[in-house]
Amino acid sequence: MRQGAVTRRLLALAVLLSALLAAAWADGALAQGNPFAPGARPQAQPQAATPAAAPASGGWFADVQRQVNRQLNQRLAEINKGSSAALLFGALIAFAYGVFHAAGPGHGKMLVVSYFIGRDAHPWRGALMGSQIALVHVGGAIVMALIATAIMTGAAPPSAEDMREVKLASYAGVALIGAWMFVSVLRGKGHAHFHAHHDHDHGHARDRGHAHGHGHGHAHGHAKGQGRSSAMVSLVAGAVPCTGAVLVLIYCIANGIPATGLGLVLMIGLGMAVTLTGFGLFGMFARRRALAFAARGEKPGRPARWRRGLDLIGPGLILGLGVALFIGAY
Amino acid sequence: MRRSAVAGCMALAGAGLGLGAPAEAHPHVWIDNTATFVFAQGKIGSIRLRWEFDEIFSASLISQFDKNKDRKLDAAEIKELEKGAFANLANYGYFTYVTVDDKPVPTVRVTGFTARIEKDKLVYEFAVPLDRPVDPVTQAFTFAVYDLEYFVELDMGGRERDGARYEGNAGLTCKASVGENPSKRIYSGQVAPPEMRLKCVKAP
Repeated sequence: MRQGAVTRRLLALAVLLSALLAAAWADGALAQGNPFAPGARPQAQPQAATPAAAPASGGWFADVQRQVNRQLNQRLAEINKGSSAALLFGALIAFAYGVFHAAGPGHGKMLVVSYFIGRDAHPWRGALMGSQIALVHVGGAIVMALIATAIMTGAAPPSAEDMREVKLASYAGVALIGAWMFVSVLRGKGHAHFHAHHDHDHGHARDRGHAHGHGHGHAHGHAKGQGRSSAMVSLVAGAVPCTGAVLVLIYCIANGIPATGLGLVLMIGLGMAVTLTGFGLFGMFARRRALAFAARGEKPGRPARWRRGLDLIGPGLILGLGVALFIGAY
Repeated sequence: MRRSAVAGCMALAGAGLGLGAPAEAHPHVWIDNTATFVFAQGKIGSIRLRWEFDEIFSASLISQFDKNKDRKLDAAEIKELEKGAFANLANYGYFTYVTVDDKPVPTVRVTGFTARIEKDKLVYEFAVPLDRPVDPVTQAFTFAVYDLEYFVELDMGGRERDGARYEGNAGLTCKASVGENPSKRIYSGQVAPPEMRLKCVKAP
Protein backbone atom coordinates (compact mmCIF):
# COMPACT_ATOMS: atom_id res chain seq x y z
CA MET A 1 0.00 0.00 0.00
CA ARG A 2 1.05 3.54 -0.59
CA GLN A 3 0.59 4.40 3.04
CA GLY A 4 3.19 1.79 3.92
CA ALA A 5 5.63 3.40 1.53
CA VAL A 6 5.07 6.79 3.11
CA THR A 7 5.64 5.35 6.56
CA ARG A 8 8.78 3.57 5.44
CA ARG A 9 10.18 6.72 3.91
CA LEU A 10 9.31 8.61 7.04
CA LEU A 11 11.10 6.11 9.22
CA ALA A 12 14.12 6.27 6.97
CA LEU A 13 14.14 10.07 7.27
CA ALA A 14 13.73 9.91 11.03
CA VAL A 15 16.63 7.50 11.26
CA LEU A 16 18.76 9.80 9.14
CA LEU A 17 17.84 12.82 11.25
CA SER A 18 18.63 11.05 14.50
CA ALA A 19 21.94 9.83 13.11
CA LEU A 20 22.84 13.41 12.21
CA LEU A 21 21.84 14.52 15.67
CA ALA A 22 23.92 11.86 17.34
CA ALA A 23 26.88 12.67 15.12
CA ALA A 24 26.62 16.33 16.01
CA TRP A 25 26.44 15.42 19.67
CA ALA A 26 29.46 13.13 19.42
CA ASP A 27 31.27 16.02 17.81
CA GLY A 28 30.54 18.06 20.91
CA ALA A 29 29.21 20.92 18.84
CA LEU A 30 25.66 20.58 20.06
CA ALA A 31 26.27 19.73 23.67
CA GLN A 32 23.16 21.44 24.93
CA GLY A 33 20.08 20.54 26.83
CA ASN A 34 21.69 18.21 29.33
CA PRO A 35 23.13 20.67 31.84
CA PHE A 36 25.79 18.19 32.95
CA ALA A 37 27.27 17.90 29.46
CA PRO A 38 30.31 20.08 28.83
CA GLY A 39 29.36 23.11 26.76
CA ALA A 40 25.68 23.20 27.71
CA ARG A 41 24.34 26.63 28.55
CA PRO A 42 21.03 27.59 30.10
CA GLN A 43 18.33 29.04 27.90
CA ALA A 44 15.43 29.30 30.30
CA GLN A 45 14.63 32.39 32.28
CA PRO A 46 12.52 32.40 35.40
CA GLN A 47 8.93 33.33 34.68
CA ALA A 48 7.73 36.81 35.46
CA ALA A 49 6.25 37.23 38.88
CA THR A 50 2.68 36.06 39.20
CA PRO A 51 0.34 37.10 42.00
CA ALA A 52 0.78 34.78 44.94
CA ALA A 53 -2.94 34.08 45.09
CA ALA A 54 -3.22 32.84 41.51
CA PRO A 55 -2.95 29.07 41.24
CA ALA A 56 -0.32 27.78 38.82
CA SER A 57 -2.00 27.12 35.51
CA GLY A 58 -1.45 23.52 34.57
CA GLY A 59 0.34 22.91 37.83
CA TRP A 60 -1.50 19.63 38.31
CA PHE A 61 -0.37 18.50 34.90
CA ALA A 62 3.28 19.16 35.61
CA ASP A 63 2.76 17.33 38.87
CA VAL A 64 1.25 14.22 37.28
CA GLN A 65 3.90 14.24 34.59
CA ARG A 66 6.61 14.45 37.22
CA GLN A 67 5.11 11.51 39.10
CA VAL A 68 4.83 9.42 35.95
CA ASN A 69 8.40 10.19 34.88
CA ARG A 70 9.65 9.39 38.36
CA GLN A 71 7.65 6.16 38.47
CA LEU A 72 9.04 5.02 35.13
CA ASN A 73 12.52 5.78 36.39
CA GLN A 74 12.04 3.77 39.58
CA ARG A 75 10.26 0.83 37.92
CA LEU A 76 13.09 0.60 35.44
CA ALA A 77 15.58 0.12 38.25
CA GLU A 78 13.34 -2.64 39.72
CA ILE A 79 12.87 -4.33 36.35
CA ASN A 80 16.61 -4.47 36.06
CA LYS A 81 16.76 -6.28 39.37
CA GLY A 82 14.52 -8.94 37.87
CA SER A 83 11.05 -8.12 39.18
CA SER A 84 8.41 -9.28 36.69
CA ALA A 85 5.64 -7.45 38.53
CA ALA A 86 7.67 -4.30 37.98
CA LEU A 87 7.90 -5.16 34.29
CA LEU A 88 4.13 -5.29 33.95
CA PHE A 89 3.66 -2.13 35.95
CA GLY A 90 6.55 -0.54 34.09
CA ALA A 91 4.78 -1.18 30.79
CA LEU A 92 1.69 0.60 32.09
CA ILE A 93 3.77 3.48 33.36
CA ALA A 94 5.57 3.69 30.01
CA PHE A 95 2.17 3.95 28.33
CA ALA A 96 1.17 6.71 30.74
CA TYR A 97 4.48 8.43 30.10
CA GLY A 98 3.65 8.43 26.39
CA VAL A 99 0.16 9.79 27.02
CA PHE A 100 1.50 12.63 29.13
CA HIS A 101 4.54 13.27 27.01
CA ALA A 102 2.34 13.87 23.98
CA ALA A 103 -0.08 16.03 25.94
CA GLY A 104 2.64 18.07 27.59
CA PRO A 105 4.20 21.29 26.41
CA GLY A 106 5.47 20.86 22.89
CA HIS A 107 4.31 21.44 19.35
CA GLY A 108 3.07 17.98 18.34
CA LYS A 109 -0.49 18.28 19.52
CA MET A 110 -0.97 21.83 18.20
CA LEU A 111 0.22 20.64 14.81
CA VAL A 112 -2.24 17.77 14.77
CA VAL A 113 -5.20 19.91 15.84
CA SER A 114 -4.37 22.61 13.28
CA TYR A 115 -3.89 20.05 10.55
CA PHE A 116 -7.34 18.57 11.02
CA ILE A 117 -9.01 21.95 11.40
CA GLY A 118 -7.73 22.68 7.92
CA ARG A 119 -9.08 19.73 5.98
CA ASP A 120 -11.81 17.15 5.71
CA ALA A 121 -10.65 13.82 6.98
CA HIS A 122 -11.97 10.50 8.17
CA PRO A 123 -11.40 9.81 11.85
CA TRP A 124 -9.03 6.95 11.00
CA ARG A 125 -6.72 9.56 9.48
CA GLY A 126 -6.30 10.97 12.96
CA ALA A 127 -5.33 7.56 14.31
CA LEU A 128 -2.98 7.08 11.39
CA MET A 129 -1.25 10.38 11.97
CA GLY A 130 -1.02 9.75 15.70
CA SER A 131 0.60 6.40 15.03
CA GLN A 132 2.93 7.84 12.42
CA ILE A 133 4.19 10.52 14.79
CA ALA A 134 4.68 7.97 17.56
CA LEU A 135 6.49 5.60 15.18
CA VAL A 136 8.83 8.31 13.93
CA HIS A 137 9.47 9.33 17.51
CA VAL A 138 10.26 5.82 18.71
CA GLY A 139 12.39 5.10 15.64
CA GLY A 140 14.42 8.22 16.33
CA ALA A 141 14.86 7.28 19.97
CA ILE A 142 16.13 3.82 19.02
CA VAL A 143 18.70 5.23 16.63
CA MET A 144 19.85 7.84 19.16
CA ALA A 145 20.20 5.21 21.87
CA LEU A 146 22.10 2.79 19.61
CA ILE A 147 24.53 5.44 18.50
CA ALA A 148 24.87 6.80 22.03
CA THR A 149 25.69 3.31 23.28
CA ALA A 150 28.18 2.73 20.52
CA ILE A 151 30.12 5.95 21.02
CA MET A 152 29.61 6.43 24.74
CA THR A 153 32.61 8.46 25.76
CA GLY A 154 33.29 11.00 28.47
CA ALA A 155 30.13 13.05 28.03
CA ALA A 156 26.79 12.74 29.77
CA PRO A 157 23.92 11.70 27.44
CA PRO A 158 22.39 14.41 25.28
CA SER A 159 18.97 15.92 25.37
CA ALA A 160 18.21 16.40 21.71
CA GLU A 161 14.89 18.09 22.34
CA ASP A 162 16.60 20.89 24.23
CA MET A 163 19.34 21.61 21.71
CA ARG A 164 18.83 25.05 20.30
CA GLU A 165 19.86 24.13 16.76
CA VAL A 166 17.53 21.15 16.74
CA LYS A 167 14.69 23.27 18.03
CA LEU A 168 15.31 25.96 15.42
CA ALA A 169 15.46 23.39 12.63
CA SER A 170 12.28 21.64 13.69
CA TYR A 171 10.38 24.92 14.20
CA ALA A 172 11.53 26.11 10.80
CA GLY A 173 10.23 22.81 9.44
CA VAL A 174 6.86 23.43 11.06
CA ALA A 175 6.70 26.93 9.57
CA LEU A 176 7.72 25.70 6.11
CA ILE A 177 5.11 22.97 6.06
CA GLY A 178 2.49 25.44 7.22
CA ALA A 179 3.52 27.87 4.49
CA TRP A 180 3.50 25.15 1.87
CA MET A 181 0.05 23.97 2.88
CA PHE A 182 -1.21 27.56 3.05
CA VAL A 183 0.05 28.36 -0.43
CA SER A 184 -1.32 25.17 -1.93
CA VAL A 185 -4.75 25.99 -0.52
CA LEU A 186 -4.52 29.55 -1.90
CA ARG A 187 -3.41 28.28 -5.29
CA GLY A 188 -6.08 25.66 -5.57
CA LYS A 189 -8.68 27.85 -7.24
CA GLY A 190 -11.76 26.06 -6.12
CA HIS A 191 -10.95 23.39 -3.66
CA ALA A 192 -7.56 22.26 -2.54
CA HIS A 193 -8.54 18.62 -2.43
CA PHE A 194 -9.48 18.50 -6.06
CA HIS A 195 -6.02 19.55 -7.01
CA ALA A 196 -4.30 17.08 -4.84
CA HIS A 197 -6.56 14.46 -6.31
CA HIS A 198 -5.60 15.25 -9.88
CA ASP A 199 -1.88 15.52 -9.31
CA HIS A 200 -1.66 12.36 -7.43
CA ASP A 201 -3.71 10.16 -9.62
CA HIS A 202 -1.42 10.83 -12.54
CA GLY A 203 1.70 10.30 -10.52
CA HIS A 204 0.31 7.14 -9.14
CA ALA A 205 -0.59 5.72 -12.52
CA ARG A 206 2.91 6.39 -13.81
CA ASP A 207 4.61 5.02 -10.72
CA ARG A 208 2.90 1.73 -10.74
CA GLY A 209 2.77 1.36 -14.49
CA HIS A 210 -0.82 0.25 -14.54
CA ALA A 211 -3.56 2.41 -15.85
CA HIS A 212 -5.60 3.81 -13.05
CA GLY A 213 -6.37 7.09 -14.72
CA HIS A 214 -9.32 8.97 -13.46
CA GLY A 215 -11.59 6.10 -12.95
CA HIS A 216 -9.85 5.53 -9.66
CA GLY A 217 -12.28 7.73 -7.87
CA HIS A 218 -12.14 10.81 -5.79
CA ALA A 219 -11.83 9.30 -2.37
CA HIS A 220 -8.64 7.48 -3.15
CA GLY A 221 -6.89 10.42 -4.76
CA HIS A 222 -8.02 12.62 -1.95
CA ALA A 223 -6.57 10.30 0.64
CA LYS A 224 -3.26 10.16 -1.16
CA GLY A 225 -3.10 13.93 -1.35
CA GLN A 226 -3.44 13.93 2.39
CA GLY A 227 -0.89 11.17 2.71
CA ARG A 228 1.97 13.39 1.70
CA SER A 229 1.21 16.41 3.87
CA SER A 230 0.20 14.29 6.85
CA ALA A 231 3.45 12.35 6.49
CA MET A 232 5.44 15.59 6.53
CA VAL A 233 3.57 16.87 9.56
CA SER A 234 4.23 13.56 11.31
CA LEU A 235 7.89 13.76 10.52
CA VAL A 236 8.28 17.25 11.92
CA ALA A 237 6.14 16.50 14.95
CA GLY A 238 7.91 13.27 15.80
CA ALA A 239 11.45 13.52 14.51
CA VAL A 240 13.15 14.75 17.65
CA PRO A 241 13.13 11.83 20.07
CA CYS A 242 12.21 12.47 23.66
CA THR A 243 14.95 12.26 26.23
CA GLY A 244 12.87 9.92 28.37
CA ALA A 245 12.71 7.23 25.69
CA VAL A 246 16.41 7.61 24.87
CA LEU A 247 17.39 7.32 28.54
CA VAL A 248 15.22 4.22 28.99
CA LEU A 249 16.84 2.55 25.99
CA ILE A 250 20.39 3.47 26.90
CA TYR A 251 19.83 2.12 30.39
CA CYS A 252 18.30 -1.15 29.15
CA ILE A 253 20.97 -1.72 26.54
CA ALA A 254 23.72 -1.03 29.07
CA ASN A 255 22.16 -3.57 31.44
CA GLY A 256 21.72 -6.26 28.83
CA ILE A 257 17.92 -6.08 28.62
CA PRO A 258 17.45 -4.40 25.20
CA ALA A 259 14.21 -6.28 24.48
CA THR A 260 12.67 -4.85 27.63
CA GLY A 261 13.81 -1.40 26.60
CA LEU A 262 12.30 -1.81 23.16
CA GLY A 263 9.02 -2.99 24.67
CA LEU A 264 8.88 -0.05 27.04
CA VAL A 265 9.65 2.44 24.31
CA LEU A 266 6.96 0.91 22.11
CA MET A 267 4.53 1.36 25.01
CA ILE A 268 5.62 5.00 25.21
CA GLY A 269 4.88 5.28 21.48
CA LEU A 270 1.47 3.67 21.92
CA GLY A 271 0.59 6.13 24.67
CA MET A 272 1.65 9.02 22.46
CA ALA A 273 -0.41 7.68 19.56
CA VAL A 274 -3.51 7.55 21.75
CA THR A 275 -3.14 11.15 22.92
CA LEU A 276 -2.30 12.52 19.49
CA THR A 277 -5.24 10.67 17.94
CA GLY A 278 -7.42 12.32 20.53
CA PHE A 279 -6.13 15.73 19.55
CA GLY A 280 -6.66 14.90 15.88
CA LEU A 281 -10.27 13.93 16.55
CA PHE A 282 -10.71 17.16 18.46
CA GLY A 283 -9.52 19.16 15.44
CA MET A 284 -11.92 17.28 13.14
CA PHE A 285 -14.77 17.80 15.58
CA ALA A 286 -14.08 21.54 15.73
CA ARG A 287 -14.10 21.73 11.93
CA ARG A 288 -17.30 19.76 11.60
CA ARG A 289 -19.08 21.83 14.19
CA ALA A 290 -17.99 25.04 12.48
CA LEU A 291 -19.15 23.79 9.07
CA ALA A 292 -22.43 22.55 10.47
CA PHE A 293 -22.96 25.96 12.04
CA ALA A 294 -22.20 27.68 8.72
CA ALA A 295 -24.70 25.45 6.93
CA ARG A 296 -27.48 26.39 9.32
CA GLY A 297 -27.86 29.92 7.95
CA GLU A 298 -29.94 30.85 4.93
CA LYS A 299 -27.11 32.49 3.03
CA PRO A 300 -26.21 30.28 0.07
CA GLY A 301 -22.49 31.14 -0.16
CA ARG A 302 -21.70 30.87 3.52
CA PRO A 303 -20.83 27.18 3.93
CA ALA A 304 -18.32 27.37 1.06
CA ARG A 305 -16.75 30.53 2.46
CA TRP A 306 -16.43 29.01 5.90
CA ARG A 307 -14.94 25.88 4.48
CA ARG A 308 -12.37 27.89 2.60
CA GLY A 309 -11.67 29.96 5.68
CA LEU A 310 -11.01 26.83 7.72
CA ASP A 311 -8.87 25.40 4.91
CA LEU A 312 -6.67 28.47 5.34
CA ILE A 313 -6.84 28.72 9.11
CA GLY A 314 -5.46 25.20 9.61
CA PRO A 315 -2.24 25.78 7.64
CA GLY A 316 -2.16 29.38 8.93
CA LEU A 317 -2.09 28.07 12.49
CA ILE A 318 0.74 25.68 11.64
CA LEU A 319 2.69 28.47 9.97
CA GLY A 320 2.04 30.83 12.89
CA LEU A 321 3.01 28.17 15.39
CA GLY A 322 6.27 27.49 13.57
CA VAL A 323 7.13 31.17 13.27
CA ALA A 324 6.26 31.92 16.90
CA LEU A 325 8.27 28.97 18.19
CA PHE A 326 11.22 29.83 15.96
CA ILE A 327 11.28 33.44 17.16
CA GLY A 328 10.87 32.27 20.73
CA ALA A 329 13.83 29.89 20.45
CA TYR A 330 16.06 32.18 18.42
CA MET B 1 -11.02 35.20 -1.05
CA ARG B 2 -9.72 38.35 0.58
CA ARG B 3 -11.79 37.69 3.65
CA SER B 4 -10.37 34.21 4.03
CA ALA B 5 -6.85 35.53 3.67
CA VAL B 6 -7.61 37.99 6.46
CA ALA B 7 -8.93 35.12 8.57
CA GLY B 8 -5.74 33.20 7.91
CA CYS B 9 -3.59 36.12 8.97
CA MET B 10 -5.63 36.59 12.11
CA ALA B 11 -5.23 32.94 12.97
CA LEU B 12 -1.52 33.37 12.41
CA ALA B 13 -1.31 36.33 14.73
CA GLY B 14 -3.40 34.51 17.31
CA ALA B 15 -1.10 31.53 17.21
CA GLY B 16 1.89 33.80 17.59
CA LEU B 17 0.42 35.58 20.58
CA GLY B 18 -1.14 32.65 22.30
CA LEU B 19 1.96 30.55 22.67
CA GLY B 20 4.88 31.02 24.95
CA ALA B 21 8.05 29.07 24.60
CA PRO B 22 7.15 25.46 25.32
CA ALA B 23 9.47 22.91 26.83
CA GLU B 24 9.42 19.18 26.33
CA ALA B 25 8.36 16.59 28.87
CA HIS B 26 10.49 17.05 31.93
CA PRO B 27 12.11 16.23 34.31
CA HIS B 28 14.44 13.36 33.43
CA VAL B 29 16.93 13.43 36.26
CA TRP B 30 16.23 13.45 39.98
CA ILE B 31 18.56 14.59 42.70
CA ASP B 32 17.98 14.24 46.43
CA ASN B 33 19.68 17.29 47.81
CA THR B 34 20.86 17.61 51.40
CA ALA B 35 22.18 20.95 52.58
CA THR B 36 24.46 21.45 55.57
CA PHE B 37 24.92 25.02 56.70
CA VAL B 38 28.43 25.40 58.00
CA PHE B 39 28.88 28.12 60.65
CA ALA B 40 32.00 29.96 61.72
CA GLN B 41 31.85 32.54 64.51
CA GLY B 42 28.09 32.50 64.46
CA LYS B 43 27.79 33.15 60.73
CA ILE B 44 27.12 30.87 57.79
CA GLY B 45 30.38 30.66 55.86
CA SER B 46 29.44 27.98 53.37
CA ILE B 47 26.75 25.52 52.37
CA ARG B 48 27.81 21.94 51.92
CA LEU B 49 25.68 20.01 49.45
CA ARG B 50 25.16 16.32 48.99
CA TRP B 51 23.47 15.24 45.78
CA GLU B 52 22.19 11.71 45.36
CA PHE B 53 21.17 10.91 41.78
CA ASP B 54 18.35 8.58 40.74
CA GLU B 55 19.35 5.06 39.69
CA ILE B 56 18.96 5.54 35.96
CA PHE B 57 21.04 8.66 35.60
CA SER B 58 23.48 7.21 38.14
CA ALA B 59 23.83 4.09 35.99
CA SER B 60 24.46 6.18 32.91
CA LEU B 61 27.19 8.25 34.58
CA ILE B 62 28.72 5.26 36.37
CA SER B 63 28.98 3.31 33.12
CA GLN B 64 30.82 6.24 31.58
CA PHE B 65 33.14 7.22 34.38
CA ASP B 66 33.84 4.06 36.39
CA LYS B 67 36.35 3.06 33.78
CA ASN B 68 37.72 -0.02 35.54
CA LYS B 69 34.20 -1.20 36.49
CA ASP B 70 35.08 -1.85 40.12
CA ARG B 71 32.00 0.04 41.34
CA LYS B 72 34.29 2.51 43.06
CA LEU B 73 35.47 5.90 41.92
CA ASP B 74 39.17 6.49 42.35
CA ALA B 75 40.82 9.90 42.30
CA ALA B 76 41.45 9.86 38.56
CA GLU B 77 37.88 8.80 37.79
CA ILE B 78 36.50 11.51 40.06
CA LYS B 79 38.60 14.06 38.22
CA GLU B 80 37.20 12.91 34.86
CA LEU B 81 33.68 12.91 36.27
CA GLU B 82 34.13 16.44 37.55
CA LYS B 83 35.29 17.54 34.13
CA GLY B 84 32.69 15.61 32.13
CA ALA B 85 29.56 15.88 34.25
CA PHE B 86 29.92 18.58 36.88
CA ALA B 87 32.17 21.48 35.89
CA ASN B 88 29.69 22.63 33.27
CA LEU B 89 27.14 23.34 35.98
CA ALA B 90 29.07 26.57 36.57
CA ASN B 91 26.99 27.86 33.65
CA TYR B 92 23.91 27.07 35.71
CA GLY B 93 25.13 28.51 39.01
CA TYR B 94 25.30 24.88 40.20
CA PHE B 95 21.50 25.04 40.39
CA THR B 96 21.85 26.89 43.69
CA TYR B 97 20.12 30.14 44.54
CA VAL B 98 20.97 32.17 47.61
CA THR B 99 19.40 35.41 48.72
CA VAL B 100 20.51 37.61 51.60
CA ASP B 101 18.04 40.26 52.72
CA ASP B 102 16.04 39.49 49.56
CA LYS B 103 18.98 40.23 47.29
CA PRO B 104 20.36 37.41 45.14
CA VAL B 105 23.93 36.35 45.85
CA PRO B 106 25.30 34.67 42.74
CA THR B 107 26.88 31.26 43.13
CA VAL B 108 30.02 31.46 41.03
CA ARG B 109 32.33 28.84 42.51
CA VAL B 110 32.30 25.66 44.52
CA THR B 111 35.00 23.89 46.51
CA GLY B 112 35.91 20.36 47.47
CA PHE B 113 34.08 18.40 44.80
CA THR B 114 34.07 14.68 45.35
CA ALA B 115 31.92 11.77 44.22
CA ARG B 116 31.30 8.15 45.13
CA ILE B 117 29.02 5.25 44.39
CA GLU B 118 26.66 4.23 47.18
CA LYS B 119 24.83 1.03 46.25
CA ASP B 120 23.35 1.85 42.83
CA LYS B 121 23.45 5.57 43.27
CA LEU B 122 25.97 8.18 42.39
CA VAL B 123 26.62 10.82 45.04
CA TYR B 124 28.23 14.23 44.53
CA GLU B 125 29.51 16.33 47.40
CA PHE B 126 30.76 19.89 47.24
CA ALA B 127 30.53 23.17 49.10
CA VAL B 128 29.26 26.58 48.07
CA PRO B 129 31.29 29.22 49.91
CA LEU B 130 29.66 32.53 50.81
CA ASP B 131 32.12 35.34 50.24
CA ARG B 132 30.36 37.41 52.85
CA PRO B 133 29.32 35.20 55.75
CA VAL B 134 25.66 35.56 56.61
CA ASP B 135 24.27 36.17 60.07
CA PRO B 136 20.97 34.26 60.10
CA VAL B 137 19.91 35.99 63.33
CA THR B 138 19.80 39.46 61.84
CA GLN B 139 19.72 38.79 58.10
CA ALA B 140 16.98 37.21 56.01
CA PHE B 141 18.51 34.18 54.33
CA THR B 142 17.00 31.90 51.71
CA PHE B 143 18.47 28.96 49.88
CA ALA B 144 17.08 26.97 46.96
CA VAL B 145 18.25 24.39 44.46
CA TYR B 146 16.47 24.02 41.14
CA ASP B 147 17.07 23.74 37.42
CA LEU B 148 15.45 26.60 35.52
CA GLU B 149 15.02 24.28 32.56
CA TYR B 150 13.57 21.52 34.69
CA PHE B 151 15.70 18.85 33.06
CA VAL B 152 16.65 18.01 36.61
CA GLU B 153 14.40 17.98 39.62
CA LEU B 154 16.18 18.59 42.89
CA ASP B 155 14.42 17.53 46.05
CA MET B 156 15.22 20.08 48.72
CA GLY B 157 14.96 17.86 51.72
CA GLY B 158 16.81 14.77 50.73
CA ARG B 159 15.03 11.86 52.36
CA GLU B 160 13.92 13.85 55.36
CA ARG B 161 11.58 16.65 54.46
CA ASP B 162 13.29 19.29 56.55
CA GLY B 163 16.69 18.19 55.37
CA ALA B 164 18.67 21.15 56.60
CA ARG B 165 21.64 20.26 58.77
CA TYR B 166 23.92 22.51 60.72
CA GLU B 167 27.53 22.42 61.68
CA GLY B 168 29.32 24.67 64.16
CA ASN B 169 26.17 26.52 65.14
CA ALA B 170 26.78 26.23 68.90
CA GLY B 171 24.78 28.85 70.76
CA LEU B 172 22.21 29.17 67.97
CA THR B 173 18.91 27.42 67.47
CA CYS B 174 18.09 27.27 63.78
CA LYS B 175 14.97 26.36 61.91
CA ALA B 176 14.51 25.97 58.17
CA SER B 177 11.08 26.25 56.62
CA VAL B 178 10.57 25.06 53.08
CA GLY B 179 7.95 26.83 51.03
CA GLU B 180 7.22 27.71 47.43
CA ASN B 181 8.25 31.04 46.07
CA PRO B 182 5.47 31.84 43.62
CA SER B 183 7.44 34.67 42.06
CA LYS B 184 9.99 32.25 40.63
CA ARG B 185 8.21 29.86 38.36
CA ILE B 186 9.90 27.44 36.02
CA TYR B 187 8.79 25.07 33.24
CA SER B 188 6.57 27.55 31.41
CA GLY B 189 5.29 28.80 34.74
CA GLN B 190 3.93 25.43 35.78
CA VAL B 191 6.29 24.64 38.62
CA ALA B 192 7.18 26.73 41.65
CA PRO B 193 10.38 25.27 43.03
CA PRO B 194 10.73 24.97 46.81
CA GLU B 195 12.78 27.50 48.70
CA MET B 196 14.30 27.19 52.14
CA ARG B 197 14.10 30.10 54.56
CA LEU B 198 16.55 29.84 57.40
CA LYS B 199 16.06 31.59 60.71
CA CYS B 200 18.23 31.31 63.80
CA VAL B 201 17.84 32.65 67.33
CA LYS B 202 20.40 32.85 70.08
CA ALA B 203 19.92 29.87 72.36
CA PRO B 204 18.88 30.90 75.89
